[in-house]
Amino acid sequence: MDSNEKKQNYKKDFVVFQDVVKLYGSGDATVRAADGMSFSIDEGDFVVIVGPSGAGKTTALNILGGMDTLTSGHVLVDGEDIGQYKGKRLTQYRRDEIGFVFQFYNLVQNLNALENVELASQICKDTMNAREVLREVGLSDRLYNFPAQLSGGEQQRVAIARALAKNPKLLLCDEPTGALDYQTGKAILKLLQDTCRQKKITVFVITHNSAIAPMAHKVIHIKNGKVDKIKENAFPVKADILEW
Amino acid sequence: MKAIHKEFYVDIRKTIGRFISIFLIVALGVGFYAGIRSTEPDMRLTGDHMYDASDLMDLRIISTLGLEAFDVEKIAELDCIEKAAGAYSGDVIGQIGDNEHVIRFLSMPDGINEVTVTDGRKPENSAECMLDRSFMEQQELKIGDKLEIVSAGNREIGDLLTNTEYTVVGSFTSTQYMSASTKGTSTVGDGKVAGLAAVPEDAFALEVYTEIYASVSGAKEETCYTDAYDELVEAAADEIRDKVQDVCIQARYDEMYQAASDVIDEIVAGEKEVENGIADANQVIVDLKKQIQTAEKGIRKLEDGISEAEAGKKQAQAAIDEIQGTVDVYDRYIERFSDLGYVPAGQLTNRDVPLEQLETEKQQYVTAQAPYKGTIEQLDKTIADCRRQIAEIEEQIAKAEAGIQTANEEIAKAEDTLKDLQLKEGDARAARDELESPVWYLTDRNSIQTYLDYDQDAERISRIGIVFPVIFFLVAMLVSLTTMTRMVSEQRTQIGTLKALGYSKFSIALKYIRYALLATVLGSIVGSIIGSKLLPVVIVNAYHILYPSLSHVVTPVNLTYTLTAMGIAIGLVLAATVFASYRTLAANAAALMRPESPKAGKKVLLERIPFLWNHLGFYGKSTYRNLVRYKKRFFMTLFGVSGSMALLLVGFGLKDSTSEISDQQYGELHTYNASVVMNLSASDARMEEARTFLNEDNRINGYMEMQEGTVTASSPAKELTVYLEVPKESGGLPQYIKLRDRADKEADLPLTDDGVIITDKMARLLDVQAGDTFLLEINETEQKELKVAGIAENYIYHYIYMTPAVYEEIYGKKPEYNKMLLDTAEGIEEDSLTSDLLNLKAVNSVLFNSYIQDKFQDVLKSIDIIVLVLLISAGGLAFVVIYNLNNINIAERKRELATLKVLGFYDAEVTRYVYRENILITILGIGVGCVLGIFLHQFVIQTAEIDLIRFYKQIRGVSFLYSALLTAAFSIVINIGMYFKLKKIDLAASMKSIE
Ligand SMILES: Nc1ncnc2c1ncn2[C@@H]1O[C@H](COP(=O)(O)OP(=O)(O)O)[C@@H](O)[C@H]1O
Ligand SMILES: [Mg+2]
Repeated sequence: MDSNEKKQNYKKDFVVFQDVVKLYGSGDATVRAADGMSFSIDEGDFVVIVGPSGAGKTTALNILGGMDTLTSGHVLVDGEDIGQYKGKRLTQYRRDEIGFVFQFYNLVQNLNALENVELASQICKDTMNAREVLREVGLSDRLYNFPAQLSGGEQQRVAIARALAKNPKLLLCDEPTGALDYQTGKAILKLLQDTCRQKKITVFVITHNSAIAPMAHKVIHIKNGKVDKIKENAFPVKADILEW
Repeated sequence: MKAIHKEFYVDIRKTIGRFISIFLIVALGVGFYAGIRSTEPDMRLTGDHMYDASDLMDLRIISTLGLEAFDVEKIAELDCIEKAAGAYSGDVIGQIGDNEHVIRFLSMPDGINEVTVTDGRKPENSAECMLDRSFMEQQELKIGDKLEIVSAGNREIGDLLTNTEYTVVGSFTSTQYMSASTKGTSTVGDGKVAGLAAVPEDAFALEVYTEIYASVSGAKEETCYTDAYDELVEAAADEIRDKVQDVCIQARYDEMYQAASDVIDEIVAGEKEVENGIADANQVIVDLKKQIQTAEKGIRKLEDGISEAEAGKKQAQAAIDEIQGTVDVYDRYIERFSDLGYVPAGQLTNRDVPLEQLETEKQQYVTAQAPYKGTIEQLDKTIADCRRQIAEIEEQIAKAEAGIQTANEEIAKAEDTLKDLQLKEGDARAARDELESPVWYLTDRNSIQTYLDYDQDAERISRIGIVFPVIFFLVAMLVSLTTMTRMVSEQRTQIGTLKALGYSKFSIALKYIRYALLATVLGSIVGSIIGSKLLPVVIVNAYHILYPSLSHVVTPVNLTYTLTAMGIAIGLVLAATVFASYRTLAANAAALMRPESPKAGKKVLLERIPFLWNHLGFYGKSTYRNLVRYKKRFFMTLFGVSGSMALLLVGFGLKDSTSEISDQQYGELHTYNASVVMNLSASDARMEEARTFLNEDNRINGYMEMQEGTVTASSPAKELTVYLEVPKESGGLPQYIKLRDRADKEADLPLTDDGVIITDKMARLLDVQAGDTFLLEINETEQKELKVAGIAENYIYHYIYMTPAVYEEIYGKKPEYNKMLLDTAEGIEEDSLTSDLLNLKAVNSVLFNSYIQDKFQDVLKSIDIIVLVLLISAGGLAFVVIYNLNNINIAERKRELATLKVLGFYDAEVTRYVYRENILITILGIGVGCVLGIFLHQFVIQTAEIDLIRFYKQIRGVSFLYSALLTAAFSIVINIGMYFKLKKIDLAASMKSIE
């Protein structure tokens, strides 16, 4: 699939950060986790965020995902300034538009794979069939296994399936391969990239691993709470041919 | 070690919620245990202080013939007696304003049974009185009111009191009469003492003391209600019996005998006097009769004189008449020959005889007549004289005869008097012969109803105090178990690090042990201080309703109970802590450094039933799996909530059971409305009068006669004092007393000559069943076997029911029906019927069942306090477990909850997800609590039950409802509090790490 062709149908500047500032703590202990971040992402982009530990990557993603509020600045998603959202409105934004994938899967231990996915889909209106999604992530024969009965990669697939089942506009992944071995990590990245390509979902992936950068449409380098540089790849590399 | 030490306090600060959980539950358990357990000794101690302060008597002596100064002296002389004082008391009907009340007048002996002046002052003269405070409050009386004595029952007012009007100058309380509602029964008025009046001794007109109060040497130093005290007093009582009683009784008897003898002597003297009178009168008669005889003799003599005179008169007349004949012859000649002037010869003589001669001769004859005429005249005079004398004498005779009549009458009268006196003498002699020695009754404080009640109240509270802390202690153990499990698993990595650094298992474990120990010890101390300082005060103060004079509460922290409770708590919590940590501590350092693999979700049983399972949402599914997964927590919460429910149920149930006792006893079983005790020594006519009244008064539907007495029944298991009831006609019994089987309430148990019916609790205590036998004490030496024909439902006291025939067979005499059970009409004025009945001479006392039921209401008030205490504890229990559950759940499942939030669950949905579990446990807890509560209630009732009463075992439906609602309310309140904690979960932070 040609990326230029894609871009004609997809919205431009789907996600926009304008001078986003996030302060933690107060007084002497104030930490500027985000110190005036600005960038713009088009719909359907596969975005990789890299940067040293403590740079503010998670902060940026959490603000984008409605898990955290910003101190100042604007975050526009599909034209809406979600940075102004609070309380229930913010929850609703998470509920309807965001899919999250974390390093530590965060599955509900009490629910089996299928139920974990259904857990997400039951609260959204326009959802995908849970079995279908699980099949897509390659877990059709592990539907009734509990998280503890699945490997790390499988658990992360369930987490991705759970995020996808909601049919989100944004899929936000915070170091999704951090706890996985190389092969598994690669498979997960491929899954994410494929998802991005096939489902018109804008995907953000935080990683320490700059070797992943070639996969992305855009690579955002963050340093000290600021966007250091943004690199665009006209032709992102497919995950399965990537080596690191 | 230093590092661990410092960390210890940081840990506590970080997990303050958990620390407080353990602290609270331990405080609750220990406080409850120590508090309630010490209430018993505290109440006793409080009672003791109060009794000592008022110098409440240790012994009370009453005698059938009253008591005298001599008796007081004799008792006071004993070494074992510290003080003895005579006292007066008597019941009257007094009027204050428009209302009449039964008032008990009491003298105020010095230094014993002191009354406490609560208002005004003590009376200073015999026309002043103080009234007891509760009466003054109930009747809204004030100082200055006037009390007028209307009646003193069977005796004259003047025989009891010197005055009929008293001015109220103050109010008082007395430890002898602590109860506001029960001051005693009386034989006057409606039979219930309403108020007490304290007056100086000289207000009484009685000749002898009605009672002697004595305090026993050294008894003040002992605490009352203890064995030591009882033994001391009992020993003193024995000494009085051994050394004083007989002397005093003999003295009193001798005195009475002398008095009786004096009376007899007096009568005998009277008799003598009368007899003398009779003798005198008889003498008079004799004299008079003699006099009459003499007089009659005189009359006869006089009459003889008269007849003699008459005869003389006749003779003289005859002489006169003879001479007259001669004179007549002369006259004839004189007449015939008057013309001639002579009498021719031949006629008389042969010569002529001149008339003159004739005349002369005739005159001689006439003259000769004169002496005779004089004699006659003389005799007539004599006769008249005699006649007069006779009349005189006859008058004398009549007078004498009248005298005799009078004397006879006098004699008759005197004989009547004599007969009377002889009767009196007989009576007096009989009275003297029948004269019995007075009987002394020595009673101790146990004769004071409130003294006993108070002790029983204390005991009841204490018994309950043994049962409940079990729940708290169990929950305390479960709370510590879950809390410490959580602590240990949170600090897994840290433990691993410490182990890797070479710390020993024990030194690491010590940290957790110290943590738990600190919470437990602090909880124990705070709990026992608050518990044993507060609970007794609360409970004792609550008893103010029943005992208004109860004041100063003595509440030392009772070390025994505190240490016991603390020991139990520490033991349980430590066991839980060790159990919670040993597995983790046993693992090697490397394993501990790796994150603990999350507890696997597991299929629960319900999943095997797809039909049900598929109908559950995620909330449901997750809830069920969670319940199964976190068993400790589940059981802790379940136990806590069900404990809370059970406590409430026990509280309400206790109230139900207690109120049902009187409702069942007097509403269902003893359906008669009043009982009348008859005076068996009343005359038949009086008895008949009473029966007529009962038959005719339209306030009375019917009555049944029976004999009631107290007897001793025994079996190898137990000896009991029970009532023996012998209804006159067992056929009519069901109208008044229902004898029915507990299991089959419809069927009446027939009372026949085949055996006796006994009440259920008695059967239980004697351990007998229908068909068995038990022993009845006939007199001090003889026991007879009785066959149990049936066992009847009953709640208050114990009863044996038997037919007159059985009674006669056993006792060898007919029953004497000393009691009447009345079935009265609806809505009558009980007070007026009572007074009317008491006006009957054959009626001794009247007791309405409604009065007993009222008394029960007082008992219920004391149960209310227990309910309140249980309510607070139940709340505390529910709070601790639900708080702890939520606290741990939220801490442990923070990530899960954050995940839900990240997924876009609204706060309400997240809350519902978590609370599902709480709600389910609450519901389950309520269910389990019902069962637990029923058992606990049974247990409490069986423990708290006194021998004389059988509690009703059922709990009412509404009590279940109230308990369930309250438990749910506790749960809801605490969960609402936790909602805010849920809301505050920091999403970003929770998702960041792997715990
Ligand atoms: N909740 C918080 N409170 C205080 N400081 C925080 C918080 N979250 C992140 N920070 C700080 O903000 C900075 C950026 O953190 P983060 O965005 O997590 O970095 P990273 O790029 O590694 O994901 C770091 O210095 C971090 O310590
Ligand atoms: Mg990060």
